[in-house]
Amino acid sequence: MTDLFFSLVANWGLLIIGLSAYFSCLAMPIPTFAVMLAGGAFAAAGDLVLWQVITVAYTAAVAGDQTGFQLGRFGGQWLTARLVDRPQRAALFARAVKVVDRWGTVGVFFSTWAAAPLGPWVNFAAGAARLSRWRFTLWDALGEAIWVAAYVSLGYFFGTRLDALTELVADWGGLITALCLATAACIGLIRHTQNSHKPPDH
Amino acid sequence: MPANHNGFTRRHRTAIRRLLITVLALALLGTTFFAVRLTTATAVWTDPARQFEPIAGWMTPRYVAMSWQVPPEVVGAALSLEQDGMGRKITLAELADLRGVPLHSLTGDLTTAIAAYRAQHP
Repeated sequence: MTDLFFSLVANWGLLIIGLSAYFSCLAMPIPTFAVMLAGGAFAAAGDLVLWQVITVAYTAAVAGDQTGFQLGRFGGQWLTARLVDRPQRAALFARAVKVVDRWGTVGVFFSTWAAAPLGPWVNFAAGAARLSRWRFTLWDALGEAIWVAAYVSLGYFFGTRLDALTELVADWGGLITALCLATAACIGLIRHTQNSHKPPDH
Repeated sequence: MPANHNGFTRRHRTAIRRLLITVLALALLGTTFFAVRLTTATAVWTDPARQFEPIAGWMTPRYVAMSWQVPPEVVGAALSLEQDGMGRKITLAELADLRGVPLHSLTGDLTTAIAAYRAQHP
């Protein structure tokens, strides 16, 4: 499966790098980390140019995230309109908006590089919960810079064994994503339990 | 249905709690799964017997040269590539197709040439 993507990068170079970086931000199941590693490796071999790989990957990833955020915005507006006459669900949504307002930038930052598989969903949620666009853009741009730089460099410096490297990075990425999710769920549970013990207003 | 200070009902609270516990359980399962896989992948990465990956169809001539740490000329000569940059952005699989030969004959030639080069330059 990843070999197919290596072939595509070898044949189509920057086009495949750009497309996969863009569409993986929209929850398309593309192994973009493998594409980034291959981009770095082919740059080291002399088939691609390093700065072009980095520039294309970064621009496409940020554009993809912005698209996801905008789609989330549309979805959020639609949801808000539907919730007008359903106060309980509206309260739930309002609570989600509050959580995103408080934790959204942290989520956006870490989901671009550490927990990349969660990235598209965080973007949609951030847009739907009306996270401020400039805060989203700032943390997203910062996180994507780390992601692109890290993965392309890994490919550039250690890409002589691309298959073994891809496996290693995939498992490492999975582990970090699972740990991030576990941490977030733990924090959520603790806060939820604390809130449950507060006396109700009436 | 009684609502607390957040406008939440008890049912909502239980649902959120269940959701969080499910996410936590799945995340811990994922952590274990990937930790085991990572251990295997690390063992492969550090195994001295696997420092070179078998030549595959997706590789380009330049990539083979880099991966097997031989001068590009060795690969170029083994594949009878011309010195006009033809090796750029073509995979071995494509090259085999273009020439109407099976891929394993190309990889075989390459493996022999690389072995010969290494024998001469230990």
